[in-house]
Amino acid sequence: MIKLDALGKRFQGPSGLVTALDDVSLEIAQGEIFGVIGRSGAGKSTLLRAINLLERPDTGRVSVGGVELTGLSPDALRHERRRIGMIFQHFNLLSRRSVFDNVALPLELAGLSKRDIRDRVTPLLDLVGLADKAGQVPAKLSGGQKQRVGIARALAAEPKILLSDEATSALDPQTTRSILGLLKDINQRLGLTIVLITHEMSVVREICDRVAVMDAGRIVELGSTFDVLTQPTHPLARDIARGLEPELKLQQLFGDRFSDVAIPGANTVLRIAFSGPNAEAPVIADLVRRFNVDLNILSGTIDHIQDRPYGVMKVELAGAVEPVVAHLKSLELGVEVLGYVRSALRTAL
Amino acid sequence: MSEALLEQLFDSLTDTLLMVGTASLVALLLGTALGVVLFATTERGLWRQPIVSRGLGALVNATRSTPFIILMVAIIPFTRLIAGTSIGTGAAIVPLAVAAVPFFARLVESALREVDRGLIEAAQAMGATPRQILGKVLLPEALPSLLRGLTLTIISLIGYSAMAGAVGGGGLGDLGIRYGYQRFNPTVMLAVVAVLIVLVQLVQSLGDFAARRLQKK
Repeated sequence: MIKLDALGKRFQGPSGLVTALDDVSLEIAQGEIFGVIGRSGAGKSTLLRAINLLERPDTGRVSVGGVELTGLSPDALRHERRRIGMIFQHFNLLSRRSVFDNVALPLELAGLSKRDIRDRVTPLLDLVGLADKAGQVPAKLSGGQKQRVGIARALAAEPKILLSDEATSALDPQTTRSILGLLKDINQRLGLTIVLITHEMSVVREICDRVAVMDAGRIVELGSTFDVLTQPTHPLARDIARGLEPELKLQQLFGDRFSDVAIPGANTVLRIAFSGPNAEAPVIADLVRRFNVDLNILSGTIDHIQDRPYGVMKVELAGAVEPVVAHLKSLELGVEVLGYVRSALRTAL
Repeated sequence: MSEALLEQLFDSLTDTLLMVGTASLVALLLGTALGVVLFATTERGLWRQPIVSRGLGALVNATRSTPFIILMVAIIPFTRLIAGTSIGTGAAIVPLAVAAVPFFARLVESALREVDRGLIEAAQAMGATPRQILGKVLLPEALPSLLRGLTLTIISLIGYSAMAGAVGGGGLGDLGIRYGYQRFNPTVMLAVVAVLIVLVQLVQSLGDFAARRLQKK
């Protein structure tokens, strides 16, 4: 549906040239919800704007639905843009138009008759749950309602693709969830391809099928949301993925009992990631019985990503660690030694 | 105050309204157009034309830095070309309009600049042409501040029109100078000032009211 081929883009920043896109190639399939995540300045906004050429890349090609946009005349490009909806962080609604007239704008631009516009706008306002607000001006709406207007407007011209530029970043968590739910609903009902950029992993986890992690203008990790979240390989992807776990500051928790390097007789702090076939097996109880070790659970989460269970547990283990690690690996669980703690566990018990 | 004087005051008010009204209308039409061009031709504008932008910018600045009384005299040949004469109320309209067009144009330009760039981007993403962006997004969104700019222009014109007497134009200013100042008639002077105050107040209130009505925030 969307094919980006070797895109490059550089900007003149305040301190020299900034590389926003560095040889980025990407294919996004029809009906997919594709997320692009990265820190600010990573180039994700430039990438998104390259898809409808609001930001024209210096090099490379952009094709949408089989049409190469980078090769079109301005007029033909405008025509193609009507098939690509876009929503924004700050909604970008016209303040002097009513909700109805905001949604009608793309249709007016396309030259539809008043009656056709009404026939198109009314069901859209129903879809986003704002039928009763048709006559209001945006200033009278909440942030979530404004974004719903933005979504209805983006869908008015019946696009095949929806681009979402940090659409939930200005919203509170609850509103974010309801907007994401709406996007998911639209994706399934209309078969719309959605490309969204965000700096929040929770957004990706909630609705994305696939995700690309961007850093310094390049895609450093790309894969299914489940894989990228559970088995990130790039350090940045790991940082972002782990940002979803409860924060556990070992140094703070254990004070000078904590050490990064192994100490004879010390307990081991393990991070166990539960995914794969044994994600739901009673692993911890089994460990205690099988290896006769003591386990102190420091933190734990169980989550569903793309409807697959995924859990992370951090434990302090007293006893021989090697057989435990080997056993966990044989169960295809992720194991990682986070550090060592001088024993206090045994005496406490 | 005698009846003759009242009649004079009324005639002068009519002259002022005629001069200010016509010049304002010209400023509204040409100034809006010029303001749009100034806005659109800049480096990041919708119709990038750096040379046009710099040229027009310089012309606008030159006109605006010339004191009105000097401008009025300096463009007498032009006035004669347009109005057929360089003397009288009709002729005074020409320099008033010449001064008001760039003044209002700058206000239009800054009103357009104040429109959130995100709105332009959203319209571009919808496939809007530059003309549509201007007509459907920029001008409607800027309308309240355009109206405030027009109010300011009209009030400035009322002030400028007082100098029209220098080229034999009529109006309240002329009346005040000739009767009030040169013939030592403080009653006329006060009456002229009072009428001007009421006039300006009226324009300001009307402008504020309309701008508030348009602003839907």
